[in-house]
Amino acid sequence: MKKARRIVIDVKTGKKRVEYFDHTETQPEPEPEPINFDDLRKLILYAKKQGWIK
Amino acid sequence: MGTGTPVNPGDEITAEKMNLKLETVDLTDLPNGTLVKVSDVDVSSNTTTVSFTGLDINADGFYLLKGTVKNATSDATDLYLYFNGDTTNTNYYRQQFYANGSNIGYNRVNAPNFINVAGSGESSFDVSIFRTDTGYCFAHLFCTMNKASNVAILLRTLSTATTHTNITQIDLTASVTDAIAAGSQFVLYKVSI
Repeated sequence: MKKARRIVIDVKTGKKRVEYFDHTETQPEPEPEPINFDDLRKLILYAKKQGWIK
Repeated sequence: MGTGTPVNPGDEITAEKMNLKLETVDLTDLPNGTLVKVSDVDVSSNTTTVSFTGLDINADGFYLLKGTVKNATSDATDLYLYFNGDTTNTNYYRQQFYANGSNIGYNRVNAPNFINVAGSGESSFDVSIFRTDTGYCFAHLFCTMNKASNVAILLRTLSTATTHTNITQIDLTASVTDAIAAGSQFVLYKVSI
C-alpha cells in the first residue's frame, strides 16, 4: 500500500485541496485477445481454396 | 435604434460606437441545453485521484468530462470511474470495444476501469455521464490512446450495478499510484435539461 495524492475539487465553492490516502495498486486489466481481420480474411480464403467451406 | 456614434465603412468597431452595454450573465438564465463549465483541473504534481465533489446531477442534467491524461510512470494504468465515493469495483460493469490497427477487441468486466493510458503515454477522452430515470449511473467514453503511428481508439460504456438517488461526486482513480502526471488536464461541464 502506498501513500497516494488526491486532488479534491468542491464545485460548489470552487475550492481545491490536496489529500493523501492509502492506495493499493492494481495491474491494468489485460486487453482481451484481439481479432485480426486481415488474418481472418486470409484464413477464410485458404479454407475456401481447400474446399473446407463454400 | 441605439444612440451610439454612427459607423462608416472602414471604421474600427468598438463597443462604445455600437452602444453596447456589458452586463453580468446569470448562468441560471441560460436556456436548457447550454453547455456550462463546472470546474477544471490542471494537474501540477503527479497524482492518483481527481475528485469532483458538490455535484448535483438531478439539478444539473448531464455531465461531460473532457481531458488529457499523461502517464507519469512506465507502467500502463487504468483510470477507474467511481460515483458518489463508491469504490467497490464490483458495483460497476464496463463494456468495451477497441481498435488498434487491424486488431479489435471487446469484452465486459465487473469493474469501472474506464480510461487506459499506456506506460509513459498519453490519452485524451470525452466522458458523458448520466443518471437514468430509474437511477442507474451511465457513462460513455470516447478515448484516443497511444500516439502518432500507434494511435488507437477505445470506446467504453459503464453502468452501476445498482441505482443511486443522485450523482454528487465523480472520482477518477489511477490503478498505478500517482500515475496521473503533472500536465494532465480535466474539464467538467454540465448540460442543463
